[in-house]
Amino acid sequence: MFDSKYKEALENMKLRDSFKAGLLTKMKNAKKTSAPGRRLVLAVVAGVLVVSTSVALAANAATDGRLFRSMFVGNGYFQTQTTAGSSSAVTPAEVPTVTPTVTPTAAPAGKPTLTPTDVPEATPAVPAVTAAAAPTSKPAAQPTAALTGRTAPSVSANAGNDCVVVSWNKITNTDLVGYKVVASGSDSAPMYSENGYYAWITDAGTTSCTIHNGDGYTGGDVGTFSGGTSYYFSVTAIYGDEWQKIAGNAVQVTMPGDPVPLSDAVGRIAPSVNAVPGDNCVVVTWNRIDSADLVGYKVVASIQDSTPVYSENGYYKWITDADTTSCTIYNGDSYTSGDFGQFTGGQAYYFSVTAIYGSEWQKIAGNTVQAVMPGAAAAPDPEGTYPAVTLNDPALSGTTAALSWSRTTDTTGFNFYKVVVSTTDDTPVYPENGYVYYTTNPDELTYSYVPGGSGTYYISITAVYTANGTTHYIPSNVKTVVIP
Amino acid sequence: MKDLHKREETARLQDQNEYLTYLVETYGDMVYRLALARVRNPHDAEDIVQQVFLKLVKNIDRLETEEHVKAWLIKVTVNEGKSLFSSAWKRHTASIEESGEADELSLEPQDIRETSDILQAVFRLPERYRVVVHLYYYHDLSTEEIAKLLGRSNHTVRSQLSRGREKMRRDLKEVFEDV
Repeated sequence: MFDSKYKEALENMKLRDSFKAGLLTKMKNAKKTSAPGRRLVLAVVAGVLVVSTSVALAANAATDGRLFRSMFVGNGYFQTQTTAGSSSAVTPAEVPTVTPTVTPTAAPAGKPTLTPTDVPEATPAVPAVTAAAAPTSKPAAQPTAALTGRTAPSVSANAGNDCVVVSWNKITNTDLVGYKVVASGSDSAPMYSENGYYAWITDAGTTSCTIHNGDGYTGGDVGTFSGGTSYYFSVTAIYGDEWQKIAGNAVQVTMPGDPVPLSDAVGRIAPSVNAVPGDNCVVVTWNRIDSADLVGYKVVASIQDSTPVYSENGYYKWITDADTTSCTIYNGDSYTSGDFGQFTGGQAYYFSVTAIYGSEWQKIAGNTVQAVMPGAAAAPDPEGTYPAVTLNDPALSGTTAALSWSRTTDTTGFNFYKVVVSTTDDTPVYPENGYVYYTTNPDELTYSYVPGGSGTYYISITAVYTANGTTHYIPSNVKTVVIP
Repeated sequence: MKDLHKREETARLQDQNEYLTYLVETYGDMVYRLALARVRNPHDAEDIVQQVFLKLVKNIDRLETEEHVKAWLIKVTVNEGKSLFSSAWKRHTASIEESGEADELSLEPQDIRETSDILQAVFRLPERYRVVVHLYYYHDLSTEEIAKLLGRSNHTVRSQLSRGREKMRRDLKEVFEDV
């Protein structure tokens, strides 16, 4: 019964038609660019697979005949896939990994400049149209880059048939998070995030990207790629948890093909934004955008990032009514997925509005206005008013630790008891340390925890309360269980 | 000769484009729901769907039958979610993996209201239970198949499934009476 109910509930969760349309365009574009030479190799691989699949089929026919199930249970199929997957890059020729290209020269600002690397001879079979590497003028990398082997991508870009193919060397550094393919019409050294991006590629083995005439661009000054216009193309590599951005060299190429008709691109403008402090609030206003392509406005803010843009910086509000051109943000309001969770009086924020256009969700960021949220700092969590519970000494029997704790003395706003366990953090607390069990019943005061093996386990109960839309996490004392 | 080659090429592309359209129409929502079960946020789920299908384009020549495609999509969606949320990406999307409550879901308020009790109960589960529950109840996979897929032991999957059920039982008494 649960499965049918669950399937029924999921029926409402569907992809937006506009998203599917945009996705299909991207898929077809990606398909068009797969090289014929590569296809031959794939055919051979596929041939091998036919054999192994037939074996699987034959074996399967003897059982329940369900091939789909055999995919998972039968060994080998996915291994075959994985092995073959390494040769699946779209680029016709893979550029060998280059040596670190960031030279920490004695730059005055303490930031090194990037030296354009030589692209090895065996680069793409397509004749180079323009491959003059423009010197990057921006400080792009931290001095640590060379030390940690975080290299700048070596980029080439070539005009194809109604498209530009940007390729770069494969980066093997395990810190790599992904590549941002960037372009600009005016900036000769475009990089993410200042100049927005065209594609975000998290597969290190993907080393090329085809940009078609008429494709939309996220952020930056491109808007829509248009035939006959010249653009600077580059790739920014993103490294590590801190999202260090290292820009590759830039290559100027003219997009082949006919100019995109004005009607397609017209009206896709950046919102003109203003932000003014009011009474315990900041009022963000912008111009009404009169474009049939407009999907909506995302009101964004950031403390750190002086050019906040959706979706990198999260958003405060998503407005789909084109006629709504202002948004009041109150002291204490919460923020989704940004560098802060709640607006606080006395704190300065960068405010902006990102306009979303078309089925491809082209994001065009407006200007940024800094404003200080008026009012008193949002009251720190009045934790004292929410009682902590007390965890009793766990009773260990065999490999099970029987936990019990005191009942909360205040059930107003009580949400959960969270049983939090950590092997490394000796003051585990939800949500930082996750949880192994939770209950919404204030009278449920026991839990049998089975540790995963020998070691020291720090255990605590976080009581979770919600009041006026704010959630309070109140940790209990910590008990230690040692499994020999 | 060249023209013939071009015509064949065009026909092949048209066929493939039709096939791609068919696959997106047939499996797009399936992939989206699995991604949603992982990340519980429509925007990130769409990002995953896009990455999975673009990857599919690259691999499609090697997926012989539609059943291969379906199995491949499930496998890659599970792993794509993992790579997206394993590293720095996570920092940018708050503590999606850690948060466990409806009040912290990244779904926007109107999404939550439209979400049924049963989805809320599933989405409230910790991530490791949530995916197991989804694969078991939505894709009708056995625990053994799920174990292979997730690289966990069958025993782990069984216990995660039963714990997931246990947690949901409180929220969904009537649905679970006969489970």
